[in-house]
Amino acid sequence: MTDTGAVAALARWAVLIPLLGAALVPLAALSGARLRGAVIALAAGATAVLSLLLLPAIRPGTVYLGDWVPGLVPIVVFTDGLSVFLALIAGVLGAVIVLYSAGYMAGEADQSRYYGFLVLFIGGMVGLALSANLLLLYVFWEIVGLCSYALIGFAYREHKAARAGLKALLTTRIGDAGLLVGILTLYFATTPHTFVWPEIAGRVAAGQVSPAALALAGFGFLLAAVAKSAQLPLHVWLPDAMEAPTPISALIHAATMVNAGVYLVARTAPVFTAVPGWLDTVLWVGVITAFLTAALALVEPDLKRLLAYSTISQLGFMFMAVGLGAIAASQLHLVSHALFKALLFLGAGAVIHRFHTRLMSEMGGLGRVMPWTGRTFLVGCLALAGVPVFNGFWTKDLILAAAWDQGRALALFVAGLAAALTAAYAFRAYYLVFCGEPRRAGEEAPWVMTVPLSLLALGATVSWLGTGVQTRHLAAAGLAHEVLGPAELVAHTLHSPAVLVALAALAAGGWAVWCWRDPGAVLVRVAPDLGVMLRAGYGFDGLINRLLAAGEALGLAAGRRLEPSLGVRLQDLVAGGFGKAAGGLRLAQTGDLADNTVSALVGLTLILILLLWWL
Amino acid sequence: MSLGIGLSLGAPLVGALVLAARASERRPWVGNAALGAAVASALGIALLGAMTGPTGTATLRTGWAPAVGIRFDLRVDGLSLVLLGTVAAVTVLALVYAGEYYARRQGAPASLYAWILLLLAGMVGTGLATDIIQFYVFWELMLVASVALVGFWGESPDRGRVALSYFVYSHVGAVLLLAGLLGLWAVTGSTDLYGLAGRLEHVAPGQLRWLLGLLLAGLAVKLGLFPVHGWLPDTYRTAPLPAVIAMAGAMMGAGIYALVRLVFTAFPATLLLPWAGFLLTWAVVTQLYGALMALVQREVRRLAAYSTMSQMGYVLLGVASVHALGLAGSVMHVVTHGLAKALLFMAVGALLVRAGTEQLGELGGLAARMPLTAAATLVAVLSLAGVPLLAGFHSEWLILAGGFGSGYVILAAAATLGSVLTAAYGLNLVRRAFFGPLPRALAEVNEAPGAIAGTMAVTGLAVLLVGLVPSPIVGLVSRALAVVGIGWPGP
Repeated sequence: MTDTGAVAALARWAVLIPLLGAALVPLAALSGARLRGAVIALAAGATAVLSLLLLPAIRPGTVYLGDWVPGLVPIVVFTDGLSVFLALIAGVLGAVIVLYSAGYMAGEADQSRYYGFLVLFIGGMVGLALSANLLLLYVFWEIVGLCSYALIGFAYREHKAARAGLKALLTTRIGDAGLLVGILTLYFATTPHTFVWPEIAGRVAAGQVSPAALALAGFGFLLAAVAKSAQLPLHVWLPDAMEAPTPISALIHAATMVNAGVYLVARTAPVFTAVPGWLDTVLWVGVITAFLTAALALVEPDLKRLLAYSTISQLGFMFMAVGLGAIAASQLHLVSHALFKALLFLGAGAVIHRFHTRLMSEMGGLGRVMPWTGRTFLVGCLALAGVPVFNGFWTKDLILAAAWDQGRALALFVAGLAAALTAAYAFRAYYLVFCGEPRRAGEEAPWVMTVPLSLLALGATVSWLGTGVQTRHLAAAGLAHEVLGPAELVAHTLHSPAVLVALAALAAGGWAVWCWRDPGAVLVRVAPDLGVMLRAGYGFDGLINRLLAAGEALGLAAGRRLEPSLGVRLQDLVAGGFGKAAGGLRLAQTGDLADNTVSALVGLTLILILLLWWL
Repeated sequence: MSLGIGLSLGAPLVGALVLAARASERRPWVGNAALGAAVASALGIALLGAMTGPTGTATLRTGWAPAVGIRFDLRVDGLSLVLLGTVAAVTVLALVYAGEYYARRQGAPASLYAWILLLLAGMVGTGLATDIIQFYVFWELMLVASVALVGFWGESPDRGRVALSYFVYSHVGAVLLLAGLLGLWAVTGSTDLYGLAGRLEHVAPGQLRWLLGLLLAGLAVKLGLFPVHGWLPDTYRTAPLPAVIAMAGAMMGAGIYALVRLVFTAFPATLLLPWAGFLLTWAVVTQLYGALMALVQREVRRLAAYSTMSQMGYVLLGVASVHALGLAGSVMHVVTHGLAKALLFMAVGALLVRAGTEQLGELGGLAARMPLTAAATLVAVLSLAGVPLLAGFHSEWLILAGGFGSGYVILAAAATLGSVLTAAYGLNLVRRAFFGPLPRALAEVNEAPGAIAGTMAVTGLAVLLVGLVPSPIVGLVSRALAVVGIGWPGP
């Protein structure tokens, strides 16, 4: 009982402290930057500690914390491994990013707005990870989306940033609508109605929910996950979201919020497996996204956008894992990716902060100028490319092995191609930014930036040693088949032929960069048509712009054609009707005495008849 | 009890009379006197709320034309309390706002304030009415006052034409409503508003269908539902800004109240259910059409007007679901839409006062110069879009839940997807007015002045507060519905 109380308190405060902190940031700023800094540090630090304390408190199941709307919306939180690890990433990486921001944002204007939304985001993300009540999940889902919107548009004076924020919010909002459709469908399909996921799962298992309702909910949730995790075809917002300050890109658009979609499909997959085609859709959305966007990263000239495409592609691998039923693999790769991608973004941020450009063609040779940044960035690239020993190698291999085990040859093949492209663009990025002769003078980033880089580089190197803990908790929650400690992980990897695919892909990608330095540029030269298509991102943005223009044209046409007839003309019709009626009656008003007499007589007779009939 | 009712209705009426006696007076006491009357009315309503409690009702009995069976009893229950509270709060805020707004143009004449107080009296009376005819009298008072405000103090040169158009529209609606009300009298033999539900059960469905059609048609005009919304954009563009705050924030609430009181808690569910498919379709069409039109507007007030139309689509969706959650959402929309839309118009007024324009093409980048106004607009549109932590979220999810509960899943899903459009027009407004580079013409623009900023801050905080702690209002609404016999589903 006390244990439950302790977990409940931890979960409650891990969400409430950052939410309160966010409200206090602008208030504290009134009495100076020092107090504001203290509030931010306290909120982020306390959240990190609380999320770490949740780790030993993990237990399968949920805890009830009270009511938000009495009788309607109970507050229930998950305390199992799936949720706590996601909360842990948000809490700990959130604190790391806050530290890094102290260097990155030094001297910038509007810091209260920046930190307010950053701390609010951390609370929202922890809340999203822990909520077992779907309506509360939706609430936090929206809060993190709102923070993402506000922080992408942080530099609101620039059209690009303002547009990118709007695009991100509206694109993900399509998914949010799907989520709400799913939640409300499930709510009414269960008796008694409930928003609490384990109860819903139980009632689905008991056969309460019709296949049609389950399918609607399943694909609604999938739409939400696709939008939030930037999978095709709703991925278009994430590259543009790189207008955000780089620490935000690292935290929200690489390490945490974009994982929410993977988390959602992983959490709900055991139930929606029953929906025909659902799991296969998840698989192929993931595989296709992983491959297509890896190709985009290969030709991208902008370092941050390259990393954004890389994020989309890696999330595709995680979707693929869920689609294969390998939920544990998806979550292990989620942790690996959060670490190495946050590392890559923060490394990119250190460079961008120093040289004020995002174009890789304007960088080059920075390994000599910023050696520590260069070395840690290399670690990130090695993990991303899947070089053995680094975390990305083990966890990506688990996903490929799952495809092999299930005999999904085509999926394995396409994913192998995607892995080859991944290695190619990862090495390409490192080469273009850090190798060669330095073209610019400068100095290493300050310690508040290199310390987070080092921590993350360490994490990207050794985090796979912790897979045993994570898989044990996932297995306890019924989401993993086996416990994979480091020894089992190595054995598992070496026993599966899929490792050959992974190594072949790595070799191919490495070889391409070795030979051509920038294989993307070579590709564009050799196949210009393909190059144009890739540079245009397969035309998704163009298609969306055409759709938006069509919608606007429809609205404008309605405004021009329909609206006047509903406004002025409808009144003219009413007025004209009265006018005509009056005109008709006027004919009777001849003013002739004889006519009037006849009319009076007819009228009196009619009244008489009516009276007689009435009586 | 009678003090509360007397104060809530009497204060604005007496205030209006006093001000009308000095119609052309423009000194500041005029605005303060009007504010005093509105505050007195608000206190009366607060007294009613405190004394009756939300489940109880309070009645003030008087005799009025007893010979023809029309009484003049006044009454509050939970449902009317939701309306009265919103009406009082929004009108008080609008009057505070008006003081600052008109301070920059040599003050406003007492007659303008008198009409605003009559509008308030009309809205309060609509909520207090116990009798069909009495209800209609107050309804008319409300319409006449708002037409006068548009016609006499409209902010565009074509105010006369707009007022006439508004008058014609709203009176065609009012006549249809009156026909429906008289029909109710005819078939039940009683003008008792609160006893309708019991009496209508015994009336032949064939007759009720006609009455239902008349009432819905009349209320559709009032709520600006498609395709009888033609009056809305021009009226909101033209009406004096403090009056628009009251009209969009409070008078729409009276329309929602009437819809719930006269139709969706009075008519038997067995009669309403076969109409649900039609009504829900109508609701979704209104919601989507209004949002689409809002998306392509170039003036902020017209955008806000179409937004109101779209929001009334949500309201119809909630009530037409004939589901307790949907009805609760629609009733709660009186509060949440009222606050958010009042806030949006306050921000529009701040733009008009400071930037001197509401053309989206001429605005831009103002977040740097008017951060509070920018934040207020953002809070307003996010609340309208149903974003969590803001008031609008609670009414909107309840409304959408009602849609799903009604079983018309496709329509409910369409409405849910339609909410993306709400976010689109709202955030596009924020982007075009407040983000991007600051045009040179606006480089010297300052933040909204004292009371305008103050009312925006108060209203914005109220939107946030209701969003964070919804249980008092949700509880009030659920108990209000329990009073009229609509059960709240347990979890």
